[in-house]
Amino acid sequence: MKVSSTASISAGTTPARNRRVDGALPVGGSRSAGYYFVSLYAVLLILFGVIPTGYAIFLAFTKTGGGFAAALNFTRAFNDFRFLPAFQHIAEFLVVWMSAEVILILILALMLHSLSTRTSAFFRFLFYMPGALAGAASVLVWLFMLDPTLSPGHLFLKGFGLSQLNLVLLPGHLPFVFALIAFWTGAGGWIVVMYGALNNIPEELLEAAKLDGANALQSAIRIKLPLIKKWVAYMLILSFAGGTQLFVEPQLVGQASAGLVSNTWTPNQLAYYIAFNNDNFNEAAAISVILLVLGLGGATFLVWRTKFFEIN
Amino acid sequence: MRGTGRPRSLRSVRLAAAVAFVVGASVMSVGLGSTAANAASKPTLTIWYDTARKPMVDAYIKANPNVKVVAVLKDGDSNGDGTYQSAFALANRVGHGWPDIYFSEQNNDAASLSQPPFNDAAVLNNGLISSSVLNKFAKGSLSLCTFGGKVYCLRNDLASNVLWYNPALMAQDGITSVPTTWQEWAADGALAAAHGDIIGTQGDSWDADVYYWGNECPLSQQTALGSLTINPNSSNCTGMAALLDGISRDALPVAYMFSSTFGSQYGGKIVFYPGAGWMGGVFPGLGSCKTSNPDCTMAAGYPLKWTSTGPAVTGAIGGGLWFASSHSKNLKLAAAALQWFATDSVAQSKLSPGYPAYGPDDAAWIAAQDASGSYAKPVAGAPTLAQAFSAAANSIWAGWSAVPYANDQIWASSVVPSLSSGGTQAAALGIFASAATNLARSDGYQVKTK
Repeated sequence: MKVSSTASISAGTTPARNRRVDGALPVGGSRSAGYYFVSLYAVLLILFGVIPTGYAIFLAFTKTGGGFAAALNFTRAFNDFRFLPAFQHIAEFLVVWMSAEVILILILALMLHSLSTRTSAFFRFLFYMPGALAGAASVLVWLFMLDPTLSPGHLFLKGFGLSQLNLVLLPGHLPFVFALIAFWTGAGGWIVVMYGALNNIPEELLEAAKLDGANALQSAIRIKLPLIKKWVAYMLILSFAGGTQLFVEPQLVGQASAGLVSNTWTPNQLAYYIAFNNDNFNEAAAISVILLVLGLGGATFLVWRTKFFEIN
Repeated sequence: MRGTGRPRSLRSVRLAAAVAFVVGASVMSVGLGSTAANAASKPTLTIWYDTARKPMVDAYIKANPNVKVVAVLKDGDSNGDGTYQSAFALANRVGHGWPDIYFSEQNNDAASLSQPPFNDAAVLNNGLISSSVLNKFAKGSLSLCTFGGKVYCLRNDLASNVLWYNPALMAQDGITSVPTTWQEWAADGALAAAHGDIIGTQGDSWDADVYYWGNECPLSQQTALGSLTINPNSSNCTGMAALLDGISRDALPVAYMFSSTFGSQYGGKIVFYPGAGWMGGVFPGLGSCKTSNPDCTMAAGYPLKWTSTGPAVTGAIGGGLWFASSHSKNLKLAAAALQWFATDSVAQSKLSPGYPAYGPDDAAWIAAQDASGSYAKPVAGAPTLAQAFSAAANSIWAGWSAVPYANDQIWASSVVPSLSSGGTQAAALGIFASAATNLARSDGYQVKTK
């Protein structure tokens, strides 16, 4: 019964060529359908991805009043007193969040994989549900959950001496608070993806391991994890790029708590502040370009280390 | 399944082109139609306003049937969240989308939106608003709006701070007279705390507006255009910090008045509260009072002084600002509307929650407040509502200037976490000054710290 989810998940790793050879789809029809699908995405990518990126790069090297600025906007951004703290915050957040993702998501996916199909389907649905909430809505849920005077978990919070929202949102707690929100919202989707990746592992391989005497833990660590490492890399690439751009959570929590979180807590917030509060789109664009370089750098590193694009 | 799919692609392209043509033609026809209709119709006035100003905007629309009003509800830039800066930055970039007049709850917008790089406020004292009208605003009330001799906004209400007190709770706690100095107020803290009551709060984003602005502490003092003094070591600052640190946190807790739980925690326990004039209407909404004290209403006392013989000085929390956009295509109409909102006697006395900055409207506003029954009867020897508000209106310290960044944002994000985890007001001063100095310098100010 795992066949259907395997088929959908395996599309990325199984060479499409194999299926064409099977003759399931006519060659010509398949190709044109592919173009249709890609063209829709390509149009959106160009309109909302490529063109804005190009514009940001153009702005980053332009003076406010026009003219080539060389590295001026970048040096201004580097010298801004909020620049390094913002990157420090995001680094702390990424360490907490990505560690939690790798460890907990893999543990949960492996546990789901060992359950019966019906039970695991129920839990997959349960885990995925928070991800169905829009980002802003999930922040509101957590504002409620984190306020010790309102939260159903107030005893737990008070156990840590957190009797007021002020204390929950102390600067040292913020990376953990935002990691918690991000994990709660995003983990379900990744658990489902990892579960699909685990289903992609040939049954014979696991049978063989079992015959060789591997227990469930050994099979998980020595067989399953190495075989899904590209999916873990994929998750880390997207998480790193998304995490460095953290914006909604600190912005909304800051506004809802009357400013307890600085409005320049993350680099993306700093860029937003500089663009709209200081009316300096050029320096803001420089920060965006720095984030782009970071995201690309992180992705390149992971792609290189995990041989991501190599097909088995 | 004939062919390779190319004919289908061509058909799709033709179909897409046809759809694009139809959509484009419809959009163009809608645009042309509306332009033609506008040209023949009455003048248009776009107003950005906040929720509390809705009754005033409705009244303006009713009183001016010959003006087509486009009323856009915004958040008034509350808590310095930068909504207006975002909107203006975008409008300035694309060259359209500005309002004709706009209302801001945020004093720092006076400095931010009227000065470069925004330049989105029209100069009012060059003929748009007559000097006879400008001169009737309360003494010094337009100083927040004035840069280099040019007035860029009109104050809606003053929001100057008074000492709110609850006569019933005072009697219950054994406090016999309304304090007139900060020292007397601090001393009453022990009596209040003994009965589980509070004499104010700290850790609100407006702390600095109450305690430091109210004691002439130079944390935001513009000495010349582009020059700012931020001196937390002035004795006016350190003296107030020491006084606040000497009060038990049972009497002066770290709490935020607009938090969801303030009412249930402190609603019936506020014996004193040094705060803005508009707060009088807020206290009764903060939850039920004790059974022994069915009356939640407060009375207003004079703003607290540092010494009984010293000058009367106070600060202000908010107090709205009316601006005319420098980009308005109908500045005369915009200025007339601006003047109506800031000065009209009915709008200001009956529809505005705060004490009018425009002097001639004060008496009618006080009369309306007295008639509302929202305030407690003053105790013997204490001032009437009119006396307290009038004294506060004329005591606002002019040494606290509007700056392009939001002081309350700094206080909330830098100082409140420190106070919440047990830090002192003395430490808070340094934290605030350091953050404010950095922001002021990044906004191009020359900052003096002595």
